[in-house]
Amino acid sequence: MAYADELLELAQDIAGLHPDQTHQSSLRRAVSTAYYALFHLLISDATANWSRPESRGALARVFDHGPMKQAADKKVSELNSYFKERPPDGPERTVAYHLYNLADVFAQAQYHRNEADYNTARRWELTEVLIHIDGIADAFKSWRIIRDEPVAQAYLVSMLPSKERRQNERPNPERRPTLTDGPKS
Amino acid sequence: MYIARAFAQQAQFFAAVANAAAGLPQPVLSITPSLGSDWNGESAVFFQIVLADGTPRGQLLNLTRQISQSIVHQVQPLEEWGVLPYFNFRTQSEEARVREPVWA
Repeated sequence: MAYADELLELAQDIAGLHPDQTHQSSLRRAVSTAYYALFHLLISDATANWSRPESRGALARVFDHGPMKQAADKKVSELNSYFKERPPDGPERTVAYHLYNLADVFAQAQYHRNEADYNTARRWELTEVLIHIDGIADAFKSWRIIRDEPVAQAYLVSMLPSKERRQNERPNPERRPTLTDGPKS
Repeated sequence: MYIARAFAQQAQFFAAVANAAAGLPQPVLSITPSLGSDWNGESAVFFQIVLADGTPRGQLLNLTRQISQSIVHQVQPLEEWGVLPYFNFRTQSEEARVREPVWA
């Protein structure tokens, strides 16, 4: 079984460990593990395009959460515009639907993973966790339907960090004020 | 400094959400939007949606997807209001439990 599939199965197992109580650490680990399942699914497919298997692990480390989220948000926005034009039924629309599902689920999953891992004030409930995991399992299905399509392969490339995206991420390069700064004239 | 329209015109934004919420299917009991920033610092709206108890597990994913897509389609949070939408769903009994005070 591929690593991504193992992670998804593990997320489902962890979520079901304490069905009668809201066991916070189990629910949090389930949300986080499900996100990582999708994260690694996409990265493994991206790096599978590299012809030398021994280098794929190193290549995988180039991928990062931030640029992958940006790529997902951008794709969701593009496809929202596409669907607003009410395209006719057909293969193109079907592929777009599955790509939208994947990108949308990824963006939501990353947000929830951060909440699960870092927001200790938030209390989790089983239903929301199961919805997240089911959504990710569905995104796996969508991806496997379209993975060989040119737009899906282009999406994998769009997840790579780029100089352009890094510049957009960079905060305003204003000089940090110091105690010795005089009043503004 | 860029301020998303949803922040600058909050009353109009929340009215647009309420308008979209009015047409949602029966199991939806409430939708509470709140504005803030996501973990990447992007302007965002967080929808907390409460569903009636008893929705079969097998229907939950499709139902929640219909709800979120309907809101996105009608409100267009990113395109019209400049905020990324995030959705969270709980059942009525779970929501009540979350709101109970924790004494320990």
